[in-house]
Amino acid sequence: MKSRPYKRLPGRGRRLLNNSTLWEAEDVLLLVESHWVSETYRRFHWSDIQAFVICKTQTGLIITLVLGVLTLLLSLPIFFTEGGVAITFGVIAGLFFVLGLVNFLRGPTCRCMLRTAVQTQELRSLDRLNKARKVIERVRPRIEAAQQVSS
Amino acid sequence: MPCDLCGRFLCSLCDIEMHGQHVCPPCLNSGRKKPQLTNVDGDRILYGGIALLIAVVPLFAFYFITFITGPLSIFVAIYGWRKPRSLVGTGNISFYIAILLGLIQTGAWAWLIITLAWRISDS
Repeated sequence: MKSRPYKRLPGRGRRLLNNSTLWEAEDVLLLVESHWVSETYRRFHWSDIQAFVICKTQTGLIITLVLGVLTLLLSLPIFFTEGGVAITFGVIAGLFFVLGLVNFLRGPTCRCMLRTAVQTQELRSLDRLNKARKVIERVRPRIEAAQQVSS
Repeated sequence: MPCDLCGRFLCSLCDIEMHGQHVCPPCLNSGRKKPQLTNVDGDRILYGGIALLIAVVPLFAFYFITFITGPLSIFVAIYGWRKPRSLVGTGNISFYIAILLGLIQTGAWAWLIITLAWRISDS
């Protein structure tokens, strides 16, 4: 069986028309931007990577709070109505609660940048703090090995 | 030293070494079109994705044009079959889904036309 040269790293930066993923290979970190009908690639050699910069953001907290407030507001009519109306509000409130819970369990959000000598590239796929740390720990040995050899 | 892609002999000035391969500047320049030079590919067209979009999008709003888009999605999938695919190996299944949907749409239209022709000839 043919072995694949690229292994997928955790995380997927989703947008409406494209998504961003990171792949590791023997000599490079590959950033793939998929646009449904095409893919664009950016390669970062392990020896060129100078730093990963992680900035914790409040986006996740705000989303959780907004979803929590919506859940509360939509669950209020359940106590004052009955029958189909109460069930409808209950289902919608439950949906917002599940979305908020999933968002909360995914952990705090962040922005992650990859820095080389000539550019700083945002890694959209690493939008959660725990995911970003996990990926950095996974690629660290490769970067250290490449930079020990080259230095 | 010959170029690993076209076989042309290279002087030391023109020889470009890249991941163990020796290539000449014209081959490097056209490297995006050659599947052998995966290390310089900046982008790739996903023909499977195009075929799938052609097969799926008309189903939601413009189903009456599926008599064109059905065969077209099969054509695009076959045209792109031998072209370089995603570098990371994703999206191969879209070829199969596009061909399947294209065949279903084409078959449905063929069945409709044959049935109508039969009824007209009967009456």
